[in-house]
Amino acid sequence: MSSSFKVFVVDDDPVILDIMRAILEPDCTIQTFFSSEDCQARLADEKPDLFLLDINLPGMDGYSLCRQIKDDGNLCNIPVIFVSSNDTIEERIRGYDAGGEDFIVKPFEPEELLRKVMVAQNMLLQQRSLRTQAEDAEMLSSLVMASMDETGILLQFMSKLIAMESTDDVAEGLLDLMGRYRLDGVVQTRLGNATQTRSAAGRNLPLEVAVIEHVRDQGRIFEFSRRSVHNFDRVTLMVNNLPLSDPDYCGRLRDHLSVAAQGVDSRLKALQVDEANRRAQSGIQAALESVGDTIMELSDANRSNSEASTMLVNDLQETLLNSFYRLGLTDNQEQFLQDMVGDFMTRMAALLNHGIETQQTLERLNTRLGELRSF
Amino acid sequence: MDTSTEQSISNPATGLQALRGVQTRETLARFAGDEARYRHWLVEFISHGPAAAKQIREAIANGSLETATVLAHSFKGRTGMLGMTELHSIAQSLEMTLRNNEPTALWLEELELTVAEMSKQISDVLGEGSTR
Repeated sequence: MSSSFKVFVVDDDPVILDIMRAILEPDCTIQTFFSSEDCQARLADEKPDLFLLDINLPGMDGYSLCRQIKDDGNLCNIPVIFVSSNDTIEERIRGYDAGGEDFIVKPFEPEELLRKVMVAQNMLLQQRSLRTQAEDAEMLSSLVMASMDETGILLQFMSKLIAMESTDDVAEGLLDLMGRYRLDGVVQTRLGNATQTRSAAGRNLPLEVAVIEHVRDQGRIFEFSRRSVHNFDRVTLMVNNLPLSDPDYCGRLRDHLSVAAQGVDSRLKALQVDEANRRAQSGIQAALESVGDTIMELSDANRSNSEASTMLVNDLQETLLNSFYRLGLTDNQEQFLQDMVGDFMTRMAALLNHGIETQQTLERLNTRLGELRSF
Repeated sequence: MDTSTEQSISNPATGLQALRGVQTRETLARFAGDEARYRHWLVEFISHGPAAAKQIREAIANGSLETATVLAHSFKGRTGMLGMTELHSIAQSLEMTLRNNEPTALWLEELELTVAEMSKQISDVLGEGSTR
């Protein structure tokens, strides 16, 4: 038994109190009282680990004192053992009804008293252990709840991040996330040649830009004073007010912000790729339109050439026939010239027909380009 | 080492064993073997015992049966713890008689007589001046 185990003994007989001292003092700290009232007066300043109460006392009896102890929120967990020479079942029942934990009958043997006090001490130790365990469990539960809440905030941010389509949205989202963790800070995004620095105070404030530029090459995670910096290729996140008084919360924040910053970096990379794709598509579109225009020009030129060639051939034929009358040629000479011209016209007509096919090919090509541009 | 202490360790119940109607060995254990402590309360009984018996008689004579019952109860407790088995038994009977509103004269006389004998015996064996 521990000598720090404190026992309050109430009995109006000095012999009983002396015997209690003789038995218990080697193992416990004993305080004795001749009446309930004396004991109550002491309870205002000091609490024992166990009460040993006589029942028949001058003034307030042991049952009443026990009831008052059990009604007091500060004392109710302290065990009470009645020590009485009233060895009847009625007295024992009254003792239990009053809230007592045990009963010892006078005259008692020292061994019995020691064992019952030891049992009470073990009960008390178990109660304290259970209370400690309950408090630990409650604390752990609060931590888990807080951690789940913090993780929930992070998950919500990550789910929104996927849908963010600009660096402005991403920077604002990250500042909002920090705000929900009760943090104040600065975010810098770097996408291609565009760098912007944002905080609750504004955009691209010279001092903030200077600080970020200074810390962005200090490694992945860099901490100084109450500040914490998370650096990735396309984003730097700086916290200005780490809650250093709560190291556990600081540790969790470090993890959450690192995940968030990494997510932002990936999102910015995706936005960069999207932008490059958009630019390439736009160039192809412009090239297709240019090719289409050229085909149309070629088509128009080809049509004009064909028309002009047809007119020239018709003019040649008409001019030749009219010239026969003025030249006075023989029938054979006329026939020879007509055949020769006819042959050339046939070949010219074949060439013109080939031009029409070229025209049709160009028109089909233009139609196909139109379809590609519309994708 | 002190000679009296040596004797006390070798034979702690010296003198006490001569007391009749007292379970000295068991009671000495109740005092954690502290003979001086035990002797003190035995000697104290020389005056306390008769005074307690007188108080009980007066309470009964005054019709204060409740007070007499409380006094008899306390006396029972005290004698029991001091190992005075016969007196404890008589006090218990007197207490029961009082609680049941029965005639107390017989048990009261028995109590007074036994208390007187016990006081004289203690006084003879231990001496009135033997205290802690």
